[in-house]
Amino acid sequence: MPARALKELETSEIADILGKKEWDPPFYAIRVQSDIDSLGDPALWVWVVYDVKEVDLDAAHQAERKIQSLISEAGDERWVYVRFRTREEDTDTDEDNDDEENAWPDDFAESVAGSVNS
Amino acid sequence: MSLPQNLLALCETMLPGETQRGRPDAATLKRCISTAYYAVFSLLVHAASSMLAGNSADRKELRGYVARAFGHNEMAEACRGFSSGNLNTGLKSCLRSSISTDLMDIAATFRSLQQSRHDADYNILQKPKKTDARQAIQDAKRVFQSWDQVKGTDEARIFLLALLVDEQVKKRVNKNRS
Repeated sequence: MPARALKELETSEIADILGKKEWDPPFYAIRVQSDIDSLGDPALWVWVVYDVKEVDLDAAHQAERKIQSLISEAGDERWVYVRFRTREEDTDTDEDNDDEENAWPDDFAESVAGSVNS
Repeated sequence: MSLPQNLLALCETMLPGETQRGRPDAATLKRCISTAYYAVFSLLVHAASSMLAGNSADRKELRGYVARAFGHNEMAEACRGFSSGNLNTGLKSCLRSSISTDLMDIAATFRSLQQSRHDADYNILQKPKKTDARQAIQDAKRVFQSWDQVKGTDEARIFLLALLVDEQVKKRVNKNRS
C-alpha cells in the first residue's frame, strides 16, 4: 500500500507562524528549510539564531518543543528538527572558518583512488 | 560506570568548559555529537536487552545476542509514534494510559540526536558549531534523567519492545493489506 502523503505547508508560511510568536529570550533570526532526513522522510529544519554569546540550552529546549507543537498544530505532519546558533556561529562562514586540519584535502580523491590517467 | 554512562561522560570531556576560551575543531565537535547519540542508543539497547534476556550474569551472552537485533532506523521509526503520542492501533491498545511527557521527550530526542549524528558522521560539507555539540550533550543528559523516571513502568517496557518489533509489525500489516 503506498504511503499516505504528508500534509506540508510552505516554509515561508511556517516562518511566518513562528515569527509572529513572542519568544523568551527573543530570536534574532529564524530560518526554515525542508529536506529529506536520514530516514528518507520529508522533514523540516528550523534554525533559530540568538543574539547571545552562548545559547541557554534550557530555554532553547522549551523553544524547540514549542516550535514543534506550533508546526504540528498548523497541520504540517513532517518531523521538525530544531537547531540553534549564536549570531557569531551563524555568520561564521566556511571561508572564515577554514579549518585546514579538519578539511578534506583538495587532492583527497586522487590520494585515495589514484589519478584517472595513471 | 556502565557503557552508556561512560559514553555520556566521555562526550562531556571533549568540550572546553563554559569559562574556557577557544573553539573546538570540527573533528572534536563531530565526535562529541556522535558519542552523545551513542550514549543514548546504548542506554536504550542495554535496557531492552536486559528486559528481554534477563539481567543475571549467566545471561550476558544472550543479552549481547539480543542487542545485535536493534537497528538505528527501526528504533527511530518506532520513536515517531511515541514522541507525538500518536501510536498505531496495535500499540495503543497495549497501553492503559497516555504516554508520559518524559517518554515522549525520550522518543523525540532519540530521533533528533540520530539525525545530528548522521550529519556529524556522514555529511562532509557540514561544519558543526559548538552549540550543536552542547545541545547534543544536553539532550543526551536529559534522556538519561527522563529514563530514570520512567524505567520499570509499563509504558517503558512497551516502548523498549516497540524499538525492536514495531517496524516488523508495521511491515507485516502493510503487506497483508496490499
